[in-house]
Amino acid sequence: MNRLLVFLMLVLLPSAALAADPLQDQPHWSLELKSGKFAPAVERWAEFYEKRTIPEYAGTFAYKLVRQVELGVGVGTMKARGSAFAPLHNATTGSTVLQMYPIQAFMLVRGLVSEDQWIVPYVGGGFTRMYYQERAQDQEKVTGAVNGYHVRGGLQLCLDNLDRGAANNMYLDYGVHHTYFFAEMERTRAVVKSSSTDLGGTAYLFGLLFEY
Amino acid sequence: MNKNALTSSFIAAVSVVIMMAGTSNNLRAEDIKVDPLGAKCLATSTPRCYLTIQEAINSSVNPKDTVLVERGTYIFSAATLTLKDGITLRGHETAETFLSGGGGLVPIISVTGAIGATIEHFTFINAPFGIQESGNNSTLTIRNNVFNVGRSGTAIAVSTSPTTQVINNVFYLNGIAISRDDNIFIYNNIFRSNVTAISNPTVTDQRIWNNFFDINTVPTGTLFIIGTDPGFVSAGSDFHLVASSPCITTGDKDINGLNNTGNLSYADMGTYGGQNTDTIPVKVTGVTATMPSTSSISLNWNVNKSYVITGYHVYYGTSQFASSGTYSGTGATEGASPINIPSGTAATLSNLPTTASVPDAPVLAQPTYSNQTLGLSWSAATNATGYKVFYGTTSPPTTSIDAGNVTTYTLTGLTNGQTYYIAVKAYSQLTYYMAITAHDAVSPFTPGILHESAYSTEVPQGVGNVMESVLSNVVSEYPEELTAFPGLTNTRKGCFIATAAYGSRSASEVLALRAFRDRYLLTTAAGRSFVQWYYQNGPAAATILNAHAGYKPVVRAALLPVVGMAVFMTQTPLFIKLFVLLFIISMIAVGRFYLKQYRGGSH
Repeated sequence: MNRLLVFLMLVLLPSAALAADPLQDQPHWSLELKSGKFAPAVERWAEFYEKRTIPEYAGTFAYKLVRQVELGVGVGTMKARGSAFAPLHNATTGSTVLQMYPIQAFMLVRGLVSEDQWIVPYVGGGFTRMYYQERAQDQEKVTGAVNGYHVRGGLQLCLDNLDRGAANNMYLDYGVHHTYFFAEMERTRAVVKSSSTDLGGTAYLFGLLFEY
Repeated sequence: MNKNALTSSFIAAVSVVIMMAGTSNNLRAEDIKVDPLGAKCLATSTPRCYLTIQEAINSSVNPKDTVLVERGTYIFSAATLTLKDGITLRGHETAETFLSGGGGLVPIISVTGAIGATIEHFTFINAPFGIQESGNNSTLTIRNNVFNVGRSGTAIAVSTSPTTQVINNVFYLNGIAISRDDNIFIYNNIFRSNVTAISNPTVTDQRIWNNFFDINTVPTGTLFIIGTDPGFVSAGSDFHLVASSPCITTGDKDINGLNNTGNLSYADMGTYGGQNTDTIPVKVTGVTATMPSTSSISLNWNVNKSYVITGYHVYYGTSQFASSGTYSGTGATEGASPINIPSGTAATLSNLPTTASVPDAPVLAQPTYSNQTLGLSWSAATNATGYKVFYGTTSPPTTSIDAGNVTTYTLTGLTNGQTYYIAVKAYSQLTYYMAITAHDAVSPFTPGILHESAYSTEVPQGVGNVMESVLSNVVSEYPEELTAFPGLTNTRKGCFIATAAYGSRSASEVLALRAFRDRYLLTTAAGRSFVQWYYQNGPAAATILNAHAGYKPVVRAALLPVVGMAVFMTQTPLFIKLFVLLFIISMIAVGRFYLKQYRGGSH
């Protein structure tokens, strides 16, 4: 219980030194750059791909309706290399390359109470359109897209408090009000109806958030 | 080693020493080399070696240093070269050492106030300025170069440097060959196809003599030749002179001096005249080899038209130069390598040893398979110089392909599901590797140095009978279309329903429908509309079909007429299509005729 109180104080306690801070005017836009691991939800994935997770790189851009709510769009990319399947031989062989590009439209709610808050929890979700390319060895590329949804949540650590000088310079030079390091978990579901294949999965992402 | 071999080795060693002592390209220990492709190019080498020309120049501490630039193309599109006092910047071979402006906006070489520097044996190309010399009475000697900077460029621009010397150069296809504001020395040069040969010709021209000029570009100097053709071997690529050239022996001999025993062309105009010329002939081209009999090789090559060429050398051996560093062939009736060919552009190596060992049989591994493809690999066989792949649908296979000297091969264009039998044979044939050089009358000869050209492109030729191994183990395999995982559908170009019904995107029926779509439907507006409608609605139908596999035979039966029409339209010749069309029209006409008869009769 004590730990929880400390945590809440850390999250919600505003800084006492706000008076002379140029970061007082509030930001309206945010830009996220993130990367991490994506664990596909496709069944039997491990039989064809060496690694259970694949790298994901993504970015989002959002407008803040109010300080705690934002609407945005995002794009990501994932690529996996593995084996193909030979039905007549009933064996895995050759190679397959699978690429996925999720496009997202989302709403995000942030637990922001103060501009100087150290840690900001957030949750969000929205629409996902998952574009894909799949190619087996010596065969044509298969392309397509399916619709789905995603939910995500995480914690943002405000870096401004670690170096006020640098934060001020970021504001003066680039108009960046706040810089956060964040970690999040994201669950996506995008099912190809013809084969009931879920191209979604669970992603564990880390990155930087710039508010300006 | 026998006595003759020892004597030959000694003579060869002495020759090399003499050659090195006499070469104008020779470097003193304190001189500097530029060799970006050299294996051991280090600042600690002897001579010191650098990767860039500017590094080499900057490292010079002795005003008499020579910087020898190895063959290659050096580009100066952004940064210009700057010289130092007294330095000699020399290309290894004029025809093979290029200084390029790379289409940039800066001069290749810029000289301001350098005293006693020399630039020689380069080909300047593609630049706004080849050499720009200005201010402070620079004294620069520019000799035995080719300037071909482009019709909008200036080859040499000299300002307030009256003691500059421009000697024995070729200026070809430049905007301005020489731009100067002073009375500099210009002699023994050839000016050909430039917009302007020498700009500002009203300057007193008492220092311009013994040059060749195009008509209409002659300045008011003394002692020059006017003509239309200076007699280059090949303008643009080889600026040596042919025997009929008016520029032979018409250079200023007094300037060049008469004691030039090592240089046959010392009295000529142009890049390859004068006592400081690069004497290395241009490489021989167009070398071909054939085997007129099992123990002989015929060689042919293009003539080198330079008037100083007095013959060719044929080098041969049983190993590639890249691996052995020499052509040490013996056994030909014509002699050991190299063989001198004093006239003509053909040679024969006869009665060559042809014995080749029978190679071991390779061991063929189980093939890999994919769509219409089988991947083969086998063990390397001792003594093999190549391999033949045998394949077919019966065992032992009989159809063969020469795979060359490799241990992997991919069979393509096969039928999926068809079992193929495969085997490999190794073969062996004695192969000779040959190269040709051109040389002049002055010895010693060493390829690429002094009086002999560098080796031509190497050509291989097998001789004697081909010795084959026994057949390897026979393996069997069938290719098949692989399925990507997780096996997604193409929502943009797919024949969704047919793919679901026939179970594969590569089923012949699906391929026929796809071909019909591409060749007929997509070529009309109505067809494109239909395809668009189908792409919107087809996936849903395919989903239902996949969910109810029991309907697939019914759908296949329903698709049969459509597939039949697609096959007919895409896979039959035009005359059959016309014949069927006429037949249908005839049948309709006959039907209508009988219908009319019937109706008339009933009335």
